Amino acid sequence: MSKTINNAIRLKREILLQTIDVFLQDKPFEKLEEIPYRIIPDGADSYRCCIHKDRAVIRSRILSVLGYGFEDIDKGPVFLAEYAKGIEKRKNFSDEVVTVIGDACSSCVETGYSVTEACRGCLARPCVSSCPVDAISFIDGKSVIDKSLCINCGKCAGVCPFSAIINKKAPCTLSCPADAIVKTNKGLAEIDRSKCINCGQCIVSCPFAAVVEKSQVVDLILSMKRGVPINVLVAPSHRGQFPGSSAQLYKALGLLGFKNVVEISEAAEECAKEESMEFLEKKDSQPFMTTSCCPAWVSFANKHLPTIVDKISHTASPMAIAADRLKKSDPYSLIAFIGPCTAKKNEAREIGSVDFVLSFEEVAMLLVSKGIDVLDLEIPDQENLHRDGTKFAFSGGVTSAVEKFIDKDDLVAFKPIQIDGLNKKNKALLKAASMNKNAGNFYEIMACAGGCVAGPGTICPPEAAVRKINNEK
Amino acid sequence: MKKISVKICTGTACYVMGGCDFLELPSALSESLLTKVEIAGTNCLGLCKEVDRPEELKYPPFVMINEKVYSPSSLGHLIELVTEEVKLNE
Ligand code: FES
Repeated sequence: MSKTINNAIRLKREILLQTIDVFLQDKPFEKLEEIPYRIIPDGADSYRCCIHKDRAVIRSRILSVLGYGFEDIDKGPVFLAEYAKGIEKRKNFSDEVVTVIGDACSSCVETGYSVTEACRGCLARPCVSSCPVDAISFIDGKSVIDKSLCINCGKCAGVCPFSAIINKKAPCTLSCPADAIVKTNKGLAEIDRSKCINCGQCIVSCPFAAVVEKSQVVDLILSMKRGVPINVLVAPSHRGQFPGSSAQLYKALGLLGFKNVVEISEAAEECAKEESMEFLEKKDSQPFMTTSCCPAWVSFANKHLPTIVDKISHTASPMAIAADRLKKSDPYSLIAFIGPCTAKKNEAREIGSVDFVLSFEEVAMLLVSKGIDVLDLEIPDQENLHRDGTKFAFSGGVTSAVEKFIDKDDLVAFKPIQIDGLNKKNKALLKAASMNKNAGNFYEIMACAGGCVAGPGTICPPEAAVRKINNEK
Repeated sequence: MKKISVKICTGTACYVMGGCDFLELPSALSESLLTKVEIAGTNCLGLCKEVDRPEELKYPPFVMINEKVYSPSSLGHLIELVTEEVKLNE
């Protein structure tokens, strides 16, 4: 599923921008309160039942930009300025990266179990007797489910002899590769943290943009304002996400206030080299190896396919390699990573060397807020591009980068398999592999179909990004 | 017949607010429409910095079709606008 520009995304970016404005331009925190009114002025058309609800949703969105999730907000009146003040006191970021905006979510389609036309109103009525909460009654000779009672257990659907009861799923539930989203009986999406791999597919799929990630962008701005030096690592997939060339973007990032800008594709190349050596080392002793660069995949394996974990490459991800090196050369600066990925936030916490993770979308809004126009920036000389490293940005790229480091003679033994997205079919392939029914011996795994260029924090269509990567000299 | 000019703003504000999606316009238009338009990217049109913009131009991205500026809400919307302009021109 790729995201293309629509009203929901525009609105989301506008709120992000206006929130960033308050902090970047040193406005008093109280100004945050004006944003919902500016975006939905009196007399405006409402998206939902009324403009008050719209504004309430916008407030929740602002809170997510401030880094708060649904679960962090007190019930009762919410003063945005108070929450803004709380940011400085935040010790570390939570593991729960993805969060649902309740007010926005409940507007979603009616989901859960319902009875279709196929109901024959049979005599046995097993649906009624199977229901543990007595939510099913018969009206006009047909089975009817009382939504206010139903707990979505699905027992009725299982026993109906006519398969007349179906489970309608919301886009988020359908998109989740980890079955981590359930809709409560109030129609609210709930994320099961024990299953969630923070891949962000739900963020991309929700047509109400009701699933969001807790941002770290304001934390970063406040640290910068305090004069903390921050270096920035840029994911290879940034190409195509911003206007202009990579060199222009790096210059823009410098103007934003980052100390040094480090492109990760060099580390990615190293990662490919190491992975190729690891492959050669292990190819005779273990049936297959999988890549390790996609943190959502690593999390998926740990939570849902534990028997495969020992097959994941031990090579550190490009982000980890680059961060490690940077920490050694400049131990007193903080490190920010910018990329398209929500799951990188969890990886950053685990490796400990990356202090902030920002999405391309967030960085773009920083540039807009500061009035930096990337296309206008003059750059002196050509950048040094690590071609193979840049390929990590899309599916198939890691394989081809690793392949290059394998000798001709060994190449016959290299049997790559591409897992492009964690869809049903691919999950079945991985499950089979975990039981040593592997189809090849090198599994390149990307949780997002298309690879990082299709990640939830991207701005542009993946096709455009791939084109730009291939065209850049 | 003179071709319709479509200038897609690729200044940072427009690009990141959705302008990059609009750059896919050439592959989204039908063959026959494509021969009647001239599509180009352009540096910042300056609109994003204007303080008092009319309501319909409240948010970037902006596209200029034959000297008139629009703020299409999606690629589909832009295609509609271009198609209309081509019809008017015939
Ligand atoms: S970036 Fe498009 S008008 Fe300025």
